[in-house]
Amino acid sequence: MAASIFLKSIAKKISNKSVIANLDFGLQNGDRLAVIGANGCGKTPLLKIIAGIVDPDSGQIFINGEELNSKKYDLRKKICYIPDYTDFDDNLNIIDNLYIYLRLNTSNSKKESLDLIHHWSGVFNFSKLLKSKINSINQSKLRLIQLSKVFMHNPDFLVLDHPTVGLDPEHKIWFWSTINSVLKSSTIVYSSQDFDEIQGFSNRIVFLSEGNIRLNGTIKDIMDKTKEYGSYSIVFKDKVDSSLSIAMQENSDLYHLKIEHNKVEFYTPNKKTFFDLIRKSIDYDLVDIKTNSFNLKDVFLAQVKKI
Amino acid sequence: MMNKNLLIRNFMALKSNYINYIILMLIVPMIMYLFNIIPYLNEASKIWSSVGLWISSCSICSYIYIYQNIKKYGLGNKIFILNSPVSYKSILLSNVIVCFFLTLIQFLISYTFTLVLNNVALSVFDCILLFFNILPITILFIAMALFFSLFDKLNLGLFICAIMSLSVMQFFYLFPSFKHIQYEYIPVVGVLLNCASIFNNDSIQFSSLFLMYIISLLLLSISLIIVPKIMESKNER
Repeated sequence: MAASIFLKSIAKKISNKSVIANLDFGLQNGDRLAVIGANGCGKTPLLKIIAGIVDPDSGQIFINGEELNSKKYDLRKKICYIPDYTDFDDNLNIIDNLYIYLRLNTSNSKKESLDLIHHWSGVFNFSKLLKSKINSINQSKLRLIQLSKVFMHNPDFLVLDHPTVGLDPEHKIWFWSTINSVLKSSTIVYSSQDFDEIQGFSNRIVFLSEGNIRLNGTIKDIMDKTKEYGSYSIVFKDKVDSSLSIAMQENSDLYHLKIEHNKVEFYTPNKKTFFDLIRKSIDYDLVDIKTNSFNLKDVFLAQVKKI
Repeated sequence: MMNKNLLIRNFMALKSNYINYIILMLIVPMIMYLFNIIPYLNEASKIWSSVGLWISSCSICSYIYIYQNIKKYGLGNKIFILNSPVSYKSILLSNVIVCFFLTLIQFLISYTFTLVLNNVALSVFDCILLFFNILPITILFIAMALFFSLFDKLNLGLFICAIMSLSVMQFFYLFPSFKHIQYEYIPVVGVLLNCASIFNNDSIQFSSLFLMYIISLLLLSISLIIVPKIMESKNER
């Protein structure tokens, strides 16, 4: 089966700084890909390139085998892009904003567009705000109204930049479950820093760092690769012994070692290292030991901190 | 090239801000009349205050409209239209077309002012001719506004444009010999004198008008090529 989105050697520089460096990856129809990475790692430029808003400096993007660029307006109408900020035109009221959005981004007629607006404003509970000015509505409500565009548009491809930022947990869950029920077959690429959301609603992740892919695969594969990884904390009764402290500092298998009075915290990709350390610590008065297997957030932090 | 939905958006925006635009279109001619009438205390005042009023108010209103609208795409908040499958050139072009429409209304308001204050009555044909003489100067200001809207956060360009359009009028009165130079070589002077000729029921010079159209359309075309590229680079981030 052909990949529904395929990126081939994509590179992009902004202000002479490389933000995307030779990226290659593909997505199947119906995939839900979460793009994660630290701030400024190139998530937004990558999403804009996938949405066809910005052209890459080199490389190609194929949507169902057809090459995409910013001038292919008909192909771009199949893609719905929601940025990480509310992008309403404050000269227009809500209904006019949505109407112009639909007329520019879809092939719907005037009547179809208005019908969609009235239907989804009812579902999203903002029918009474349709004639309101943008400035009179609070930001979280505006964000919700902005997200309703996704359903009005009903696209083949959905590109969302931190879609649920500013929403309460209830609305976050509701939004994703509505996507799962209404846009079942759409391919979704989104960025997020919410790891519960990523684990709950994605089947794949790409981890970006300085414009490069550091991890790419299904969540299950990535978690399997890191199942030996763990974060640990050991609490002693008294201050950590200096010889033990030196031994830990010299151990190259411990990452992000934090020694605070009687408490030691660290990551290690190797359970044996942890057991060795416990054997050494047993000579001292131990109060507590905490072990945590890596979850997705730990994988992210580990990547950011380059474990 | 031209997207009718963008035109609809611009007219919707006009509709929702109609009070602001009505005030603008009434206040600007009043202020321009005041400034243009001050140095003219004889018969010439009738001519040059009228010509000044027609040209300055149309130019300044078109400048303000383009500056305010394009600023949103360059300096202000990013709006969804920038991420929509339409070219930036067509976004600018749709604003320019609506601006022509506003210029026409502004011209009619200015003409009404001169009709009331200076008792200037022109035939319909002369009015159309007058409008086509004013249009290239307005296009020149639109081209300037397109550039200023992306860089001029303080709106100093408006001040420069107001001074420019006013001072040209003042020069005509203060330096009458200016009127006798070979104006076919300075198209903007030719166009201003054409306006005065229409006022006096004299014949006009089409060569300078034609040249003025070429220059202003050329500048507008350059703006419509360069400004979208700047907008594109700003939207990449």
